Amino acid sequence: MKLSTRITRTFAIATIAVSGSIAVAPHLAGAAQGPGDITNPTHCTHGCDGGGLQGPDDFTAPTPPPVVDPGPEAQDPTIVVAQPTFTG
Amino acid sequence: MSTPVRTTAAALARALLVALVLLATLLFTGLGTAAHAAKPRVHTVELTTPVAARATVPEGVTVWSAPRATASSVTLPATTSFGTPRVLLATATRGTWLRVLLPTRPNGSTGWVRARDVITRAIADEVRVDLAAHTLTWWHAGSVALESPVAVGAPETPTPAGTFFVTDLLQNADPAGAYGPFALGLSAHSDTLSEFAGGDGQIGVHGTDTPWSIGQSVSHGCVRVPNDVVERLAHGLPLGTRVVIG
Repeated sequence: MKLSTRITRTFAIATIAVSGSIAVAPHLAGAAQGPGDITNPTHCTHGCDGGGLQGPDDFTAPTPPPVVDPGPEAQDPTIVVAQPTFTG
Repeated sequence: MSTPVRTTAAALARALLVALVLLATLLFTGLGTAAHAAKPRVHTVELTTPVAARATVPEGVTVWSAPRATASSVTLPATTSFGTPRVLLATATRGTWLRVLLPTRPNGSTGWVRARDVITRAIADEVRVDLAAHTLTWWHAGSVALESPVAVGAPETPTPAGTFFVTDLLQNADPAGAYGPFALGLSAHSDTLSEFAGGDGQIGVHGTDTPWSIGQSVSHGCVRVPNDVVERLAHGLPLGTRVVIG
C-alpha cells in the first residue's frame, strides 16, 4: 500500500472519530446534569420569535408573557354550570 | 527494498492515529467540562405579577415537592371536581420549573410544576377581602374596578386568611338558591369544617339568598357578596386570579 493511501485512510478514520465525538459529547454531557439543569424547555411561553435559543441564559428565568390588558370585565373566563359545594 | 519505507509509514500512520484519537478524547471531555462550566447557576425568581398556569397535559399536572425530578410528587387531575380546567397560581420560577400555589390542604401549600406542562398567562386582576371591614375589592391593573360589602365567616367557622386563587367559576343551576347565580371556588379550605354540602370544605365567593347578611360575620367560611356583584366577578375574573384574604 502506498504511503499516501495509508495516510489518507488514517486521516479519514480519524476525522470520522473526531466528528462523531464532537456530535455526541454535548448530548452525553447534558444527560449527566439532571432534569433541573435543562435550560432549553420544549415549551416556549413567550418571546418565541423563531430565532431559536440565544444562549444559556435564555430560559433560566422565564418571565410571564406581556400583559395585554383587555380592561376589567373583559376577560374570557371558563364558567361551568354546576351546583357549588362550598362552605356557604 | 521498500520495507524501511513501509515501516516508517506505518509507524507514522499509527502515531497520527493515536494523536487524533487523543485529540478526540480531549475534545470529548473538554466539551463536557466546558458545557458544565458554562451552565448558569439557576436561582429562584419570585414573580411580581400573578401568573396563571393552566394544565395542558390531559392526564393531569404533576406537582413535585421540589424543582427536581427525584422529589416526591402527586398528580392533580386536569380538571377540578366541578369540571373546570385545572389552573394553578404561579409565584416563582426556577430554571424550567414553576412554583405554584396548590388548591389542597393545608392552606398555603405550594409545589413545583414543569413549565412545559402548563400554559402561563399574566393576570392583571386581584381580589382582596378585608375580614374586619367586611369588604371585597377587585383590583385591575392597579386600579379599583369594584368594591363591595361582604359577609364573612362566623367566629366558629371563620374565613381563613392567606393568599389563594380562583379555581372555579360556577354558574348555579338555581340562581335563587343559597349561592346566588354564580360562585367562585377558591384554593382555600375551611380550618374548622372538613366537609360541607357534599364538598371538602372548600371556600368560595358567591352570591346569596340572604342579602341582609351582607356586612356581617355569619357564614360558614365563604365570602358572600350581593348577587349583582358576583355576576360581575364571574364574568370578569379569570381562573387563577389571586385572592388575598386578611
